[in-house]
Order: sequence, then C-alpha cells, then structure tokens
Amino acid sequence: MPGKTNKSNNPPPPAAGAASEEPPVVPLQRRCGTMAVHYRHLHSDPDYLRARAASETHYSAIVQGRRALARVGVTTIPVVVHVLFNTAQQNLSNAQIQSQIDVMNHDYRKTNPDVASAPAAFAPLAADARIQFTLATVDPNGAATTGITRTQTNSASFSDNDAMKSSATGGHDAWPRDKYLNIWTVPRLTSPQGDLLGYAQFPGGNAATDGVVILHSAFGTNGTAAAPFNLGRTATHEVGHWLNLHHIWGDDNNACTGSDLVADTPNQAGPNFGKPAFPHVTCNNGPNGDMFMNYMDYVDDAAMFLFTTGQVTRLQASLDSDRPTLGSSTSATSPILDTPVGTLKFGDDAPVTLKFRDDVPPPSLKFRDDGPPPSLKFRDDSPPSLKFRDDSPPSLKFRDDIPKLKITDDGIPQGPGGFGPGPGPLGAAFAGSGRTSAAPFVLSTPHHSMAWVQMFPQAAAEAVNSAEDQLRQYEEVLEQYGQADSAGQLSSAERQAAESIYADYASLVAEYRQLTGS
Amino acid sequence: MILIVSTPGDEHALAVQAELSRRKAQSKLLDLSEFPQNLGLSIRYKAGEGSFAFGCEGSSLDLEECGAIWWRRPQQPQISSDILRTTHRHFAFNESVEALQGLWHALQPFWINDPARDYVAQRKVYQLRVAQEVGLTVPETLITNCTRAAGDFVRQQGAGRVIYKSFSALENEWRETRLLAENEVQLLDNVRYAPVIFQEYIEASVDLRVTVVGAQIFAAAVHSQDTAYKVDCRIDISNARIEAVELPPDIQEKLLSLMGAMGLVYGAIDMRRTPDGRYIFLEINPAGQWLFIEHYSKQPITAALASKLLEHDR
Repeated sequence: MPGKTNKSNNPPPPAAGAASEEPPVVPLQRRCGTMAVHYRHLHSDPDYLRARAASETHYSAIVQGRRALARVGVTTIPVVVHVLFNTAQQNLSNAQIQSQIDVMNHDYRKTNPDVASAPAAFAPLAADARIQFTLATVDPNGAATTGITRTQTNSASFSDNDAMKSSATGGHDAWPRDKYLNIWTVPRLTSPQGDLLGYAQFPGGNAATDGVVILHSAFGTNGTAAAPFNLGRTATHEVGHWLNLHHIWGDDNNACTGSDLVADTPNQAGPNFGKPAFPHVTCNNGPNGDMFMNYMDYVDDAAMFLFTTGQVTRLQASLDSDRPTLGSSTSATSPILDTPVGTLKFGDDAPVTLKFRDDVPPPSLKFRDDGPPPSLKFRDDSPPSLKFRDDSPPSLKFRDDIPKLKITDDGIPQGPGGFGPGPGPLGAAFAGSGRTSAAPFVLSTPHHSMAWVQMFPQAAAEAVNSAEDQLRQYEEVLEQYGQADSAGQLSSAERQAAESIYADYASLVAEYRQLTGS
Repeated sequence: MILIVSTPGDEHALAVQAELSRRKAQSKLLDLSEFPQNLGLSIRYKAGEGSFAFGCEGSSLDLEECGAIWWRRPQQPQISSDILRTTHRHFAFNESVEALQGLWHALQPFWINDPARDYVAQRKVYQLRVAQEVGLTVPETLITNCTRAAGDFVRQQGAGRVIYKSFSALENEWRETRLLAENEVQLLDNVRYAPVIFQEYIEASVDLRVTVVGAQIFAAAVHSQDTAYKVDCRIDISNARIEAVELPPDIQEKLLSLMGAMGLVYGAIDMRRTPDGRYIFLEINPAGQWLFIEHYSKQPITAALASKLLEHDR
C-alpha cells in the first residue's frame, strides 16, 4: 500500500465485462527461463561470451581480494516497466506496478519482514544487497515519464525468444540499459519446457534485449498477481539473474558438482519447489541442508526471503564491471555490509577452481592446495588496474625514466621462474613461442580458440585468471628492472634477461587479449 | 541390471537411463571418481567361486547381476586429501587403478564397448590403419616429431592444403583441427617437442557423422560448409544444418567391417564427402556423442543404444 504515486496516470480500469477472456495461466511451480536463454546466447554470440568471461574475471579478482568493490553505498536504479497487454485485464494498474517496486526495495535492502523467519543457521548470512529501485522519471529523450510504457499487443502469449522486446514483434523496444532496468510484463510466457514465470538476460548480452521479463500474474502483490506467486518475488529472482546471480543449486541437474559461484551458499542438488520444510538435505549438505529460502531457488514467493553476503558481493561486482554507469550511488543509510567482504571464507569448493570432468585429472593438480601459499611480496600492494590494459602493448618499463629505487646487486629480480613453484599447471599454456620457453607445436600456434572458450567456459575463466596472475608477476618484475635501470644498476646481461622476459610477457599479453577479446 | 560407467552430469547417460526406465529396465550409474573415497569395492575368491561387488557391507552392487555394462565416461579414482605426501598419493592412485582395471577384465558382461577394445580403438594411429585395411579411404597423413619431414610434407601438399590436429585434448588445452597457416610454418621446429598429426586437407561437400550401434548405421550430414568454420565442423555446429542421410552400401559395409575389426559395438565416425562424391574416413570416437545429431536428425540413436544394452541384460 505504500508509495502510490502518479495516481493521475492510472490506466483505464480493467474492462469489467470481458467475459470471453481466458483465465490467467498460473503455473503450479516456479520455472525460470534464464539458463536456456543464457545457453542460446552463449552458443550464438561470441561478444556475449567475451563479456561473460571478463565479468567472471573481475568477480574472481574481487573474491580473491585483488580488487575492491567500487560502490560502497546504496545504488538506486531507475526502472522502466513495459506493460504488454492483450486483454484489458493484463494492462496492469500503476498500483500493481508500484507494489512490485516496493517489494524489490525491501528485498534488496533486507528490510523485508519475512527475513526474520530465516533458520538460525542461515540468518547470519542474510545480507543487504544495497540496491534500490525507482520508476524512471525521465525517459531516454529527456521528457518526463511515469516509468511505465503501455502497449496493446496482438500476442496472447510470448516465449523466451525476446519478441516482447521489440515493437516490430508485438512488444516494446528496450530503453538504454546504461540508464535503466527494463522490465517487460507479458500476458503469458511459454518455453519448450512449459510455462515460465519469467526470465532474465545475464549481464553482457545484447543491449536491445537486456532486462527481465515477468508474467503479469507473477508481478507485484495486487491486481492480477495470483497465488502462490503474488508476493513479487519473481522479479526479485529475475533481477538477481540480471545482476549476475545464478540459481542457487548451480544448474547441474542434481549432480552436486555445479556451483552458483558463490561460496557461502551450500552445495545443493536441484531446485526446491513449493514451501519446503527445513532442513532439506541434499549433496551431503547436512545438517542445515539446502538454503531453499534464498531468492535464487524455485520455491513459492512466501518461502523465499534472503540473499547472502556472497551473493551481494557477486551482484555488486557485476554492477561495477557490467553496468558501471547504471544508477546513482548514495551513501548507505544502514550498516554498509553485514560482513566485511574481505573476510569471506572460501572453502574447498572455491568457485573459480577448475574442475576436471573427463579423462585426465592428474592427481598432482590437487597438490597445489597442499603447498604453502605463495608469498609474492607485491601481491599486497599490487596496482589497482593492470598496466597492460592502458598501453598496448606496454612500453618497456626499464627503458623509461622511472623514479629510482635502491637495488643492490643481489637484489636484481629474476623472471617469474625464479619465484619457486611457478605459476601452476596453466603456465605452460601461456608459454607461447617466446625465447625462454618452448612449447609443443600444436600449442605454440598462437591461439586459444573461441571454440575452446565456448566448450569449457569454466576452464577458460580459470585460464584468464591464471594469465592475469602471471601478467601481474611479469609486470612487477619488469617494473623492478626498470627501477634498477634508472638507478644505473642494470648490467648488459641483466638487460638481456629483461628483454627476454619482456618477450614472454608480450606473447602472454597477446594470448590474454585473444582469450578475453580485449 | 544395466550398469553405466559415467559421471552424474553426463546427459547422454541420462538420456539412455530415461529410455531404459521408460521400458521398465533397471540401470545404475557408476561414477568411478567416487572410488575409493566414497565407493567401496569388494572382490572375493573362495572355494572356486569369485564374487565382485561395489560396496563394503550392507547394500552393494553385485556386478555378476549386471548383464550389460556401458563404458561411457570412466573417471579416474580420486585420492583422499588426507594423504599429503606426493609419493603416497601416487601409490594410492596406482593401487586404485590396478584394482579397477583388473576388475573390468575379470568380468564377462556384454560391453559397450569392452574397455580393452575401447582403449585401443581410441588410438588414431591404429584407426587409420584398420580403416585402410577394410578399404576405406583416409587422408594422406604424416604423424611425426621430425621437423624436416613435417616441412617436406607441408611443401609437397602445398600452402593452405594441410591440416594439423592433436591426438587428444585436455580440458585446458583444447585445440580444434586447423589449416596450417603461412605464418605457422616457422613454428614447425616445435614439432620436435611432441608428435603432431598432419593430413592433407579434404575439401568437403558435407561432413558426415556416422553413429553405429551394433549393426545399425545412423548417418547424418553436417552442412559444415555453410558455417563460419569449414575445417572442423564442431566449431560452429550450432549454425550447421544436420540431417539424416543414407550412405552407399559399399561404405556401409566397410564401416561395419571397421567396427568388427576393432571389436566395437558402438562408435561415432567422422567422415567427409568430397565435392566429387568420394567418402573419406577421418576418425572414429568409440565413446562419441550423438545427442547433437539425434536432436536434428530424429534418428532413434538413444533408443538403439538402450535396446542393445537391454537385449544382453539378464
């Protein structure tokens, strides 16, 4: 009931006597089309793939503490709701639309009353996502708006093929995603698997289809909203995807091997439906079992009521990297974070760990975890952004005039090989054809193909991360050479070594670019 | 009982299990990466009898009850992280592998495919020889780590007429089949570090994916030449039209001879049909995938595999 604005813009009241209308289709269970849409884009849009890889790279840097979240306060995101109606009843009232905005504002600030019903085991993980939503007041042309578009369509039903996102196909064009969250409400939403409550497009896809789609009867808390999906949680769930959250069970068909890439959510076999009883144990996740009360499960609206700290980190990381210009930031009005990001603990199922599925899991891979942590001294104070992104390819640091640093003869740094255990098994992948390292012919041809990236996205993300780690090491070394050089302490032999290291570095940069499409 | 050796996430295994359960047949999926940490194994010999079971006590899976075993995606044993010393880990791994390999050879179920046959059939060097022997045409091929021989081969075939490919792939080092580019000739010296398969490039009118189940041949044309990558049809497969086709009788006969010679019940064969109508054998995948074909070609491959397992299960 709060926040009824723009009364005068209410649509005409629903046609009272529309007797011939079909009753609204209310699916019995939650079903979301996001993953199917994700795979469709993944297999057809290399740009999407690159953007996804880049986003995961950024996220893993946040998780590993190499980068910090940019937005510390609350981000307010302008929303445009495109109401597509076939019958007058589906032309949702402003009140129904505002009720949806209100729900999201509670859910994304952890001010929803039902979060109090979280089981004791999970309650400490519930977190404030630090996002609020407001109907847009200015349209893309700068004119005043209610933040609502209304379009009568001949389509009684849409599918997950994005037709609702274009006026050419019975829908309404998206507003620019760098300024708005686009939400389309539709008369009906179908897929080959059955009726959907909604679907979202993960960050990194086509701008023209960016946003979320919600079935009108699962939207808001009044009007056409129908139980058990009449508490507005479908939009909370889909906007979660739009901010890069995955389903909490990891979309792995009950395999217990998939991950939602968030460390503080339990491993979980598959979706939960309805209103499960606590605890529901799967994948040896007892005694507390599945976190089915998470917004990213499939339970009924009344049964879901929390995001975790780890999920908040992920969606905030996505805001930073995927939607940097979206929304306006304000300082937090409540404690900024429930748990400091830096103390996130990552157990054995760390999200970015490469999991070998098929034939060749060399047992030695495991040993990396056992060894002592690398104590690279420059890790702590590494530069906030990678240098190779600024200049392409980077100029040789040891040729520039760089403030001097006292470096003794025995303090001349070695190449990354000198750091001991080396950068790990992926090192060989990036050896390239540089002068200091040989590679088998097939691997020395200069590419990781996009085909590989498509077939093994997790391995690809791992390779990108590993490359960044190595690049950072190279940069540090080159930097030290540079400082030694400007202090007049570089012998010709050392200069030669530096040149050689630089050659490796340059080929690694080339491969990194190929991997990330940057 | 039908046993499927694979991983829980294997959609091909799931498809066959679904088909089997539709026919009221019992099947079980065995993930060998669970061994020895979470999966027990008990092999007993006593008074002239042998028994083989997964499980330690209580509920166990008696392998003599398994009339048919599908050797789909066998996993490596995973060793407990409780063991820290590298040499101890290797020892534990090796002992686990030995026990399992002995087990498979001791059992006498109906196999798709017999692990020993599967092991041999995966070898590309062997495949090409058998293919030639049964009368199939194979591309002119050089497999070598001799840099000069590689250079000569490339020169003889001509620029842009040679592909290279790897024997197998690791998840983090996967390479598609590629045409040797001009600027890659200078890298041929690296051939000495590991052998490479070089082949004459076979122009295609279509790629053929031929899935053989027993005596049944499901041939499908993959219209790879209409896609963004003509050399390796896997790369842009989502844009390739796939349809069922009929192979000439003599090719069918030769493929069945190939299967017989290799001792395989199942195999997914990659071929190309040239613009002038010749059929060229490229390779055979003894545990190759078929769902991406079946989805478009509507050939009942899943059902055929289920039938084959079922007819041999007790």
